[in-house]
Amino acid sequence: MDLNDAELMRRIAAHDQQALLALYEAHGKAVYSLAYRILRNATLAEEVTQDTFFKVWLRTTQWDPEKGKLKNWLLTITHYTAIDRLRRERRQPVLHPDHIEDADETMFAASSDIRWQDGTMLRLLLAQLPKEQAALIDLAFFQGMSHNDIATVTQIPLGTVKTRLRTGLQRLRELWLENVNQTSKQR
Amino acid sequence: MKPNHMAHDCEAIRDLIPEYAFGLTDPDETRLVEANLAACPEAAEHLADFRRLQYEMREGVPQIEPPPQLGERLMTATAPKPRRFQIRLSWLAAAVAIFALVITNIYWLLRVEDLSRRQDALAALVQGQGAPAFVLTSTNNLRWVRLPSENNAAAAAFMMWDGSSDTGLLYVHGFPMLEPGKTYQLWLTRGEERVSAGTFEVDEEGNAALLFHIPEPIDDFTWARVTDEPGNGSDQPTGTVVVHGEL
Repeated sequence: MDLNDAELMRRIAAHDQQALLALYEAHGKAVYSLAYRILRNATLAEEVTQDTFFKVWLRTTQWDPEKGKLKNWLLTITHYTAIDRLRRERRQPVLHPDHIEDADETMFAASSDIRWQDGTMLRLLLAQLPKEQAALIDLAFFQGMSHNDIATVTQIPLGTVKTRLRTGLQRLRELWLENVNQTSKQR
Repeated sequence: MKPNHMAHDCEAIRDLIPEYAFGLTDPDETRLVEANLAACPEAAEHLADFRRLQYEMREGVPQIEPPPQLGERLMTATAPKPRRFQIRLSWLAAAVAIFALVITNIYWLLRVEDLSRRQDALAALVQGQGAPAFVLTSTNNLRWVRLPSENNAAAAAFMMWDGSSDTGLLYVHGFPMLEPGKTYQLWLTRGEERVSAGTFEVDEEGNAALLFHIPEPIDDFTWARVTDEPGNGSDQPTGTVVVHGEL
């Protein structure tokens, strides 16, 4: 457990605004970036970021230090908040069937104000997957879409969607584990 | 569960783990996974891998600087709100109800005080009319009506009677003084029939009390009225109606 995180959360629970500001300064960028990645809209991303920290402030959800890092917990809240918002907005997903061939570029291309800090490894892993599998994983994870949603949007048969997703996720896990193990050996 | 069945289920669950981790399983599949996960260590390990992978995916998105004012807005949104003077509708309704109650109480207190004062005056006025007046004002079966005036707001009368008797009491106030040779007369009416209940004079303040007896129960009558009549009164009303009211 990170004692600083625990102390920070204890102070936030006591409605210490400076502690909330410290939490925001530490993780606000990651939260905003994930919200933007899902919503693709700066205004909505700002609202989701504010909602996320507001949930922490109001203690609508509790962080359990035994279950993971504070940042992990914050990003999980952000993810579900953004997906909820995305569904409410009923926005069309960024990816369209016509764009699937260019999925690896469109999914992770950086705009002028975007710069990679982390995630390079993951980008490389995803790039090793067949493009159509990577695209479906993106729709499921970053757009919160179900099998049926994906089949409707991509006009790919439902059975094919399920097979591609399962295969793609299993392969992604294998690639990730290989990478993690290699990194461990290098240390 | 037999070991080979358990292995079979765990294999099925392990196959579902990728979709379960990404929220893609249907409710039946979700229940199946959650019911058996604890008994399937390999599936649980796969799930833990996917959870870490998801964290990497969340953390690994392109990083963007949030707008500089976002932190300030968060501080504003979570700042303690100054207490403002706010009246909720329910409180307002309660205040109005309490106010109305107080006003009503004050009104009735004044009325009771007024009636008490008039009763005292009445007692003084009927002192010369014998004990029945005191019997009447102390009865438990007392009925009374107010007889208003349509033309003279200051003039009014109260008639009280015992529901079980033929004795009544009329108290009037604000009546104008009559010219010499005229008198006030109380009439009880029932259909077209008018029965005289007696005559009276008022004092200089327009007050008077009349203790009356009629041959029949007062409850048999429907209206009461007071008119001004010549001399010592009339057999039937002929003058102007000063007050009248339904019994």
